[in-house]
Amino acid sequence: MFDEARLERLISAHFDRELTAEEKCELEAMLLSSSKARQLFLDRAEWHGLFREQAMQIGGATLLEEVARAEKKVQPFARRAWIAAGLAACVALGWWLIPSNKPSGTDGLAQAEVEHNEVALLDRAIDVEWDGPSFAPGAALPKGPIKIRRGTLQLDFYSGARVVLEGPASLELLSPDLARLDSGKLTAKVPPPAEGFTVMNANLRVVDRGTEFGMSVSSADDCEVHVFDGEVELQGDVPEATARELFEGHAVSIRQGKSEAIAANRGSFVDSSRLLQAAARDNDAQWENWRTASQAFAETPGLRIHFDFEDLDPSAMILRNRASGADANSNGTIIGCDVLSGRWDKKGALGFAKTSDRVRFRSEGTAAAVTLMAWVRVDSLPLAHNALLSMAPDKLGEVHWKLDQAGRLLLGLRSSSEFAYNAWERLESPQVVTPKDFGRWLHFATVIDSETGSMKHFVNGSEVATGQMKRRVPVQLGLANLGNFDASSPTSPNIGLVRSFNGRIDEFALLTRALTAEEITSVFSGRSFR
Amino acid sequence: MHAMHDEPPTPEEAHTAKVQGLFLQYQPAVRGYILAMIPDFSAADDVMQETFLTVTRKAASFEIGTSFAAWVKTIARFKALEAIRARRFESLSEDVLQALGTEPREFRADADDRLVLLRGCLDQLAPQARRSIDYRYQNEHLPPQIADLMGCTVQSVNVTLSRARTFLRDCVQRKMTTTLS
Repeated sequence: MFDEARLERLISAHFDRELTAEEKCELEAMLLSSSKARQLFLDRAEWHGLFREQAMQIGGATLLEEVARAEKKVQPFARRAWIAAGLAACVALGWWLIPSNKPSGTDGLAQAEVEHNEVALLDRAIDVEWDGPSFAPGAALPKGPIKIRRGTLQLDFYSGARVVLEGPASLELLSPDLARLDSGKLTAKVPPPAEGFTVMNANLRVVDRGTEFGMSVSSADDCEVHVFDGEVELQGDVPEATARELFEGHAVSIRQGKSEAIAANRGSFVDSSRLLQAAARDNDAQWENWRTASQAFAETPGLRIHFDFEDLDPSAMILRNRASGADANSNGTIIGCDVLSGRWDKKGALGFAKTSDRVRFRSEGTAAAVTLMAWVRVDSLPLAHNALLSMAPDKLGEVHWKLDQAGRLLLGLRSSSEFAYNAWERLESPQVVTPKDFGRWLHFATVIDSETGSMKHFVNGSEVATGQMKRRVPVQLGLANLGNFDASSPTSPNIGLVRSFNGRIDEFALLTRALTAEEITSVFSGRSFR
Repeated sequence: MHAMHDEPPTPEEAHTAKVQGLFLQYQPAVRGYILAMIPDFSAADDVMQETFLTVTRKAASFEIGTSFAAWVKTIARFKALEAIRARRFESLSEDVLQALGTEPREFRADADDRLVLLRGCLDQLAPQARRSIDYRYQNEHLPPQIADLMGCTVQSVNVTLSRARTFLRDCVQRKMTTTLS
């Protein structure tokens, strides 16, 4: 017998080219003397190959590099033809897309650093036209420039300062309490904990001493600072005879090296309460538009279940199925959950947080094709599986629709009655929910078509994954859980497994037909379709 | 992307494409087999490509229905030995290579499933272990370089890599035996 732990270490060292001459002899002796050792070695080699394959598939070398590299190796003239044929076939199979030499593998690390660089949250964006990279409300903003051609942004710096930026403007975010205004207008409201919040331009620094102030920059030599409340301090290259401290009601304009004291003018800056009112009106209008589209959607052919999460009555525990012609038996039962707001302030939603929270509903029969759609706000992905929907436990055609911990959208469709890994048809998207998306509303749709054998995932109206079923089974309708998973019976081996969802859902639909990509896009964009 | 023309493939082309499809299915196993003999990643990549081209060229001699795993293993082994002898790649002794070559063992055919599960398992690795594995397999660094990058000893990198491999293997195997999707 050999020392298995020792063999494991030697094999690992061999793969990493870390063996000393003595260790190499030791490994060789073990491999020569025992078939069991050789089996272990070959098994570990197969895993080693799998790890390497995985790493290569996520790298990013280009097709051309790869082909050029392969062609360099062609020496014997007579063999050129078959290599060319082989290459063409490889290209067709996409094999050469698998990178070889220098995959840039630091993406994961880079990402962590980016998250570390976030300094503010984008709270609102009203009528904004971005100039360069754009961000959605709710997004965390990294250090770097924010440029808008028009519109208004409300930013909450992590220090606690709230900044309203009026376009056209260019603002560089430098830290949670420092920004540089290169052009445009801003107002900053700074609560006591954020005192010291500073906005600079090319020449000066405006340091807050507990205030609300406005700043307007037209060029490096043209700047105004207005104090609406409290006090600010001016630092840096300020013209002589300029007051270094500026108090409520006062303002200073600095043009081409000359300063002039003026009266603060609140009216020349956007009023954030007026801004919020305008945003609220806009928000209500969007909700009204959705309501109109949603009523039309209820008539969609093939619509079995449509939960719009409106008019929720926490005491009744009933979630009404709004699909045209639906009977009361298909209404959902709310178990736990909190009644919260949805995509718009007036829109209803259910919040799922406790491991028991769920909506249970039932539908009957089987369907050759099914489309699942939901508007979802993911708050976090704490579990290996975070269920959006699970349906018909343990039956052939059982459906699991969920997000995994890494933010991939997953479908599992039971296509064999055995309890084994390969009893499932699976479709996995790339990562579609990153921590940056936590708190944002996303539209997920999945189409299962057992007639064509295809499965597709869509996020925000765009296809993100497609796959073929190995075994074409129809979808089993039946007992379903929204935002949770449960086992079929108290004796099931899966009893007690926790796969609850953490976030909100404010619309869900199940259709017994395969929607086209166009239909899904039009549902996503809020247009009634057909 | 089907070459430059729209004509349907000839039976020979269709057969070749089928054989290449089988190769893709076994690609991780073939790669592991070559890496076992040639630990250098880029040298092994070269042999991997030569193996693929040979499989393509000899596709006609492969009969669908017979064991592709055994056939491709013979080719990979031949290509690896040829490269070791001709280019003096670092490897194990001839005796050991011989013994490994005659060891009865079939390539596994479930690489696709295991690759999917592996992605989930990688996410479960502790950050240090994840970085070591990424440096090793994506950036192709060896333990001394990884130790420099992470500010620790080569010995601790060796241990981290070895433990991470064990964890990943166990994690994928555990997932393979779960009964749920």
